[in-house]
Parts: sequence; C-alpha cells; structure tokens
Amino acid sequence: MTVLFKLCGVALIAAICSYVIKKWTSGGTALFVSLTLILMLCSAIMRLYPSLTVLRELMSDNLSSGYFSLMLKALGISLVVKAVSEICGQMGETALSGAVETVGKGEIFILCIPYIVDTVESLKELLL
Amino acid sequence: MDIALVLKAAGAALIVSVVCQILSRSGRDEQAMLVSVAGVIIILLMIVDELDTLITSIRDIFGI
Repeated sequence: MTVLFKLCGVALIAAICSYVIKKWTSGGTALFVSLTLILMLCSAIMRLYPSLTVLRELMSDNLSSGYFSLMLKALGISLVVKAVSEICGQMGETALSGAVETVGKGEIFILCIPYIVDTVESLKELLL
Repeated sequence: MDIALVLKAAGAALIVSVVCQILSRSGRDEQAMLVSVAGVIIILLMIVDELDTLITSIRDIFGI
C-alpha cells in the first residue's frame, strides 16, 4: 500500500514540476514527464513480480499452463507497447504512437497463432 | 522507487530552460541552442537507462 502512495506522490510532484517549468519558461516538459512515466511503470511492474511467480508455480503442473504463459506474454507486450505509445503521444507523435500499438497487436496475434491452429485442428477432428 | 531521479530531471529541465531564456534574451541564440541540446541529451541518457531497466524487468517477469 505504501508503494501506491509513493507512486501517487511521485506523479503529483512530477505534475507540479512540469506545471512550474511550463509556467516559468517556454520549454517543453515531454522528456521529463516520459522519464517519470517510465520510473513509475518500473516500480509497478516490480510489485507484480512476487504474485506472478506464485501464479506461475501454481499453474506449472496444470494442463492450461501454456495458456497462462501466453496470457503473461500478452500482458507484458501490452505493458511495453502502452508505455512507449504514451511516451510518443506525450511528444506529440500520434502517428508513431499508433504504429507502436499496431505492432503490439500484431505480436500478440502472432503469439496466439499456434493455439488457434491447435483449436481448429481439434475442432476438425471432433467434427469429421 | 528512485524519486531523486525525478527531482534531478526536473531540476535539470528547469535550469536548462532558465539558462536558455537568459542566453536568448541577451542575443546569444546559438549558445542557447547548444545548452538546450545538452539538456535534451542529459535527460535522454536518463530515459535510456530507465527504459532498459523497464524492458529487462518485463522480459524477466513475463517471460517474453
């Protein structure tokens, strides 16, 4: 819980610093805000590590461990894509932001292809 | 959570902006541009390090 408050505090401090820098000078604060965003994401992801380790151990002997690992990979890809897309959007490059999101969606689709093929083949065997 | 890094970046951005303003108002536009480029490079170096940490953590945690 304390990490939550720390992250909220960091976000507030960064927002206030960004406001002050914009008010006093005509400079942009995109790089500074991007750095804060990356730091906060790092901290949030490090918080997930123990929970994901426990879940991975629980699912390792299960039949659906492949699906769980696919879910985790998709989650990781979406986090990276979201972070980079927001940084690009912050810099004003909405085209780059959209391109990064498209690449992320493609990657997740590529990850799912083996499972889609398996499912279709299982259905074929059942129906034929 | 390294809050000091955020404050360092904020301080660097503020100092660079103020110095650029002073230099451009005293007619030294080229020096102002050099100072702003230097500031951008410093903050970019900070971002690259942290981005590397973020992507390495995601790779390790999510198994990508």
